[in-house]
Amino acid sequence: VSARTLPATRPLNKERKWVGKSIRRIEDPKFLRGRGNYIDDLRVDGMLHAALVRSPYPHATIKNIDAEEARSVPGVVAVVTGAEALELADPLPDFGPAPEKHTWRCLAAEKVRYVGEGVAAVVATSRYVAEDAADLVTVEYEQLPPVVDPEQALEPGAPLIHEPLQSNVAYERVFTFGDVDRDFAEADVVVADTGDDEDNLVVVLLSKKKSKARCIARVNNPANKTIFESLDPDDPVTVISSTELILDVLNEHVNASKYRSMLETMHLFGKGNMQLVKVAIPAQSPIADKTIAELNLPHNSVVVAIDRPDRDLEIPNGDTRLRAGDSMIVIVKNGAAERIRTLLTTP
Amino acid sequence: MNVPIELTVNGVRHQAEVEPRMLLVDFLRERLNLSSVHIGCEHGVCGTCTVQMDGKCIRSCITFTPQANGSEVTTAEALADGPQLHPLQDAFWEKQALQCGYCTPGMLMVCEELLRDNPRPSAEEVRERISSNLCRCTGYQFIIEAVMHAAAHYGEGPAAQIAEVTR
Repeated sequence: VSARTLPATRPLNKERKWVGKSIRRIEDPKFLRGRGNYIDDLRVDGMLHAALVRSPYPHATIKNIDAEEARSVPGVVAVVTGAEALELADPLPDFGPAPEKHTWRCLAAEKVRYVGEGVAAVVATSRYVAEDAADLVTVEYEQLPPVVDPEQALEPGAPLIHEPLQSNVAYERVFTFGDVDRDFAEADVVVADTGDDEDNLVVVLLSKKKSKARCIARVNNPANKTIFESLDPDDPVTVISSTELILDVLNEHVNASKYRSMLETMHLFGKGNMQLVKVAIPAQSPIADKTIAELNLPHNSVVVAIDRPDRDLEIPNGDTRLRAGDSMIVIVKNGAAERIRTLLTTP
Repeated sequence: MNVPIELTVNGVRHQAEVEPRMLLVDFLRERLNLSSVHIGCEHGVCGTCTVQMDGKCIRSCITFTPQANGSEVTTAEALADGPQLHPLQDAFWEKQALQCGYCTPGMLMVCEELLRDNPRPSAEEVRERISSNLCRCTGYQFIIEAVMHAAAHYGEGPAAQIAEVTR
């Protein structure tokens, strides 16, 4: 299995206008002011209100509906039963497995198939009257055995919810992409190298189930390291923690204590409005052969190190003389980086 | 059969005669056209009908209108000061704390009361307080961030502004 590989990162060389920004949605103020105008907020002249009579049973045949009392309530305009709706309304679009064999209706006509399925609608001049009248509709049911468990619904002889379909299976399809089992079986090594620890964990678990291959997993959050390490004591997963890797590299290359403290300081930039920039000094640079004091840098910037080819980082002072080929590491206030770079590299 | 009531809604005094069983949510929506007060579950679970009665959040879908007699009711319509959004509304906007907007008025009323009681809540306290209201779009995290943002950026602002509206 080839784990998802991460694209190479490109340096962000300028501020972008839209990409990567949180944009305020133009439609939000109306929602925030309570002026969303949802269906329930619509008002039209002569508008009536409907209340539904709903099934209390998960599966039952409708034997009879008596709506006479409901129809006599002042303010009631109509009571429409499921059987009447067959005449008044077209079928609903059927998204089931066999639309040619089956018809969906807005109200149940012959039997109900779930608790809460509508069997009659009461229309009245107000919602209060409509709900009062809905309570007066008497429905006679004959209960049928319900199916409440998907696995039991698949068993032969399970009660059928939609008889014309001769099955309770609404949809069946197996999704197959490539010969995954063969790939696992033939693999020598399985590498889980995504930026998402959960994805990597799934790959490792799959591999342990389907393959004898050695596993190498990248762990992005060091806190997850022990999870990977404890997965298989007999054939341990080789865990590569990206955070620890970076720390190791720093440890290896930064030994002198003064640089170490500088690096610790650099971590603080994450919080503040400061930025560390590197300014290269090309051959014809106007600042080559000048001392740092002669640069007259703005007061909100400090040169903290000089990176000189083939030499260790150097901590400068005002008398340090710059040479072509050097790079200066400068701390600047945010936003001023480009200004400093221009100041130092243009004649 | 109708009963007379008198109440103040968003600073305006109203007199009306209503059926004793008329729900406050229907009174606010049907009689006063305050459509920020949404109807969701209709039985006090989802919180989208939340309004403030004398400064305290209540669910208007399980409150009879006569229960609000003599009280001062505040709805989300009263949060903004004309064109100027309430700091909480602005924070919800900034932090993407809404999508469809259906729960938003109720959320705003709950969060406004929270910040008035506790101008510097912890994220945990915000989470606890909005547990009364359901949101199906945001996963709540952005709402919590919006309230924290409002609390951090506006300080006593929300409390001071709403005090004028509800008093």
